[in-house]
Amino acid sequence: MNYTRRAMMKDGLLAVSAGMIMPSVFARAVRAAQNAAREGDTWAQAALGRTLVVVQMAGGNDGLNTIVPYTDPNYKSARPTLALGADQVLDLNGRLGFHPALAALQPLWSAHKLAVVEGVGYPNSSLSHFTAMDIWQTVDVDGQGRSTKGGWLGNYAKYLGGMIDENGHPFTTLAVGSTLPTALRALNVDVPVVSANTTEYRLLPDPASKDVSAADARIQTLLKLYNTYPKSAPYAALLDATAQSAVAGSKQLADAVSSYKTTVKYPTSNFAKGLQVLAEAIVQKLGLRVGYVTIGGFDTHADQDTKTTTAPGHHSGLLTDLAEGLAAFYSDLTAHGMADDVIVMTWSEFGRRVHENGSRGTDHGTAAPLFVLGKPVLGGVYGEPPDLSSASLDHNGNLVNTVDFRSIYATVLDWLGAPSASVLGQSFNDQKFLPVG
Amino acid sequence: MSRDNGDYPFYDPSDGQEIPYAPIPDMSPTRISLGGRGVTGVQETPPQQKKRGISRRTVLIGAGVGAVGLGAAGAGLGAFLLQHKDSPATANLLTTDTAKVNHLLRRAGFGPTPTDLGQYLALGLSDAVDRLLNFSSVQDDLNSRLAAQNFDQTNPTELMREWLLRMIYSKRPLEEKMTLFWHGVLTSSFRDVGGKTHIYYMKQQNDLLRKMGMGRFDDLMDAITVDPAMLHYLNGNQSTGNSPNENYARELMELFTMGIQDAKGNDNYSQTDVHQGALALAGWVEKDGKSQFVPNRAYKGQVTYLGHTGVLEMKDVIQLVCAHPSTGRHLAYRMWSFFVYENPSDSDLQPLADAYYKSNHNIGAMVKAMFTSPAFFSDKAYKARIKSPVEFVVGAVRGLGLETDGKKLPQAIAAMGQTIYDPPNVSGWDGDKMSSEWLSTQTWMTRVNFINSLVAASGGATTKGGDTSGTALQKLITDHQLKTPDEVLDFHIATLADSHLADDRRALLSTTLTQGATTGPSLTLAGGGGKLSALRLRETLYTMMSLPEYQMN
Repeated sequence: MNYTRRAMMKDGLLAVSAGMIMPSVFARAVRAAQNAAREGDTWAQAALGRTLVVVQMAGGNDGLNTIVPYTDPNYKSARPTLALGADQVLDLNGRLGFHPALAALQPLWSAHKLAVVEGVGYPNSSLSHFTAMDIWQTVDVDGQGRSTKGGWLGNYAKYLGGMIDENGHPFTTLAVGSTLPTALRALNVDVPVVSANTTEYRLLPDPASKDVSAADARIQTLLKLYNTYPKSAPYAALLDATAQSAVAGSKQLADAVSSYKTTVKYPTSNFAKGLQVLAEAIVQKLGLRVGYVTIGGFDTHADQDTKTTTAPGHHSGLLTDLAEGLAAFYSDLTAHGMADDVIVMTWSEFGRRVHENGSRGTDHGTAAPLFVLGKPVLGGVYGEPPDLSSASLDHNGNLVNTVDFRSIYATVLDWLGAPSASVLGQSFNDQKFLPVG
Repeated sequence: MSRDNGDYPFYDPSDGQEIPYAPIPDMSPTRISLGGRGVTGVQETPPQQKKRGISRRTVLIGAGVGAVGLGAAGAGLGAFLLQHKDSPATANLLTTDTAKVNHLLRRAGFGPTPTDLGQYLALGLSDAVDRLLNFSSVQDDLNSRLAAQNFDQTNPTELMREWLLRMIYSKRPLEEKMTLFWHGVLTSSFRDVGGKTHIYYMKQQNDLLRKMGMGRFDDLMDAITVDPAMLHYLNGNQSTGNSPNENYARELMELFTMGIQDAKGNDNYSQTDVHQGALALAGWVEKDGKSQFVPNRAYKGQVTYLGHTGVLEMKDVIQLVCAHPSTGRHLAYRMWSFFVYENPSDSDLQPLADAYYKSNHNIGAMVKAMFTSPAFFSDKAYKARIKSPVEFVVGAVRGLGLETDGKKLPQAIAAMGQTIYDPPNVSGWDGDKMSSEWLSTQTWMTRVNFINSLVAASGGATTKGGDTSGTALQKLITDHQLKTPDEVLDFHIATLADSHLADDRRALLSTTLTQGATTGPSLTLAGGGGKLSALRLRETLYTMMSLPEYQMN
């Protein structure tokens, strides 16, 4: 069922605008649709309905123990306790192998639907989590990351015309969690955030009042009070837009979730639940163009992969969650015939030090591999696998990047049909892992 | 009605005791004067002359765990409203007394209760600032009352509940607010302390932050560097002179003290400093919940750290980072962003940084400089930050004067994006630095739904048989002698909206209170004033506490 503006009118979703005020989100959608029309051909492609799902691996994922250069003697000598051997990894090409916990991704790799891009980063990489995260999210590589500009996906959302498209879809962009990632920030664009438990995405009535129209009435009153809060007050516009967006989106999401069915069994991790919310939005055709979900815990300074009698190592657990969640997501979309226009891109703020530390862990590093996967993806290894010889490392013993992370964004944006040079502020080489056009 | 829709069981005061009458001690060595320049301050005449005309009954209103009696000064808010009515002002201008005191109580604490708002108003602004700053002289038996609850120290939710109750009921609101501030700066998570039997390390760390949060920064940093939870959280435990772990050494400089860059954009330290610092700090481990220095784990040689070469110990490292010329400013930045507004100017920060160095690194001196800065009471500061989940939830419970066991509160703040004792990462909560981070469509809905259940539980929506006589909303009407719907409305507007709503907004709330469905039980107005529909008052408070202005601190 596709939600058209007409259907929304019919089922009363637009009742929020029936009162004295026109919710600003709808007003903006109209303006955005007009702007999009003026943009002409560029936006014809975006209208094709391609979707990007971004997975943030927060904390700095150890790239060398994710895509393992298991034949490199330098790898083994740098990692006396952490190195994975040929008998453990899942071989990719005779040189590199998956960490064994990534087994769930192997079918995607074999089907050539998974690209591994090696050596991704930027020069003079910051070893600070927070500077590095800001740089990745705002593409502000010169400004030490303390940028006040929006995120790269927020800029893309701006090109899309904001959070609501011309058909009244309030979920062109959607983050799963409780707070909005920096990458999705943009001035005057309101990206909805939904918890992995979608039943929480609705306003509850007074428990003693059975009167549905009274419950609607008090929400109308509230929206009016948000709309008339003096715009000179701090955050007035943000508060207004947030309230309007929440009310507009909640009903649509509830309807979508209640009619979504799947035969795929998702893992129980929060990460997998988050991916399932995004799958619901895609399968129910809510107009999703950018989805965002985070998996955290990759800051593995100590006992990175130490097994206990009851549990696998920490890094193994994280990679298992990642791989099994992504595999379930892909299967779900495929089963619904919705996988043709969806790709997933992972990123982490940095890789980790080549040499392990004395605590069976790894300190902050620089360049690392990332994944792009999905039915449209041209699978394989891209970029230069890292050179671990000591002469090739930087003065802190870290890898030197071979691929600019912004070129990954550019490749993805071009595939989405967006003007990548405009979104990112400059042009970058296409990395070839997606078909052109 | 289902319990899931919000049932805030009333706290059962252990012995029904009266809150002890707690006069403000005349003066104490720690007293910081508003007007004085020194750190320990000039002693001032205590505000006891303002005792006039206060009945003991008024002071004891809300007695029980919920009471936040000021003792020496104070009048009930109802009485206050009768003699003093602020005229409504433009929404974001800080002009009236009620707004200023509310503003102060929100920033230096978690907002007023209906009872203590009147009491702080009676003190006057200057004495109110003094009283909040000089909290060490305020008697409070909260510790023993909480200890009697026997919170399960292996359960993080119970630790959260204990601290939330402390924030709600402490008579030293700034002490708890400072502890929360430090928890967001010098942070750790229960997830990394080594399992269930070690969860109490987080409580120990919390006590440490509470005890040392207004003292000398060097002392606080000495303690937190070897704090058991911190040794686990940032891997000091695993760091040795032979193979140092850089985790703590990096965050010590980047997040806890000087920051990455100075005000001019120059790097404050290099990766070499991180490594050398890690060497110098190695050797401290946690053992049986205490920190211990193990000489054979330490680094024996010289290090060169921030330009100083020698055999450095932990205290030498701390001394260097605390004395660093960027540390005062970085702390001032964190403090101002948390307590006042975001993106402070150099001229906002300079007095705090000056106070830090002039006082030999005294945190209390910085806090005093902040609360006595003209910018603190400026229009720019008024309702300038979006409330954090803790400020929102604790403030809402206080704003309705509720007595609660707090069992639903840990889940509420977590759903809004702030699980205390479990920060998202080592930089704490982004919202502490930029409050817009607290707001998303999801967290907005969670806030409004929380208010819905809180108001429902306070106003008879969830009680069986519709008896509202014992509800919190009835108690406020009775205790504060509210005789008409208008008096009820203005009473709540004072505590929840600073007596500061524009006329058309008040009119809308008045309509909500007096018109519409009146199904369900009624509340009894004071002085034979008749009945007031409980549903109407719930709807009114729901709207008032969901207002955009109520989201703001």
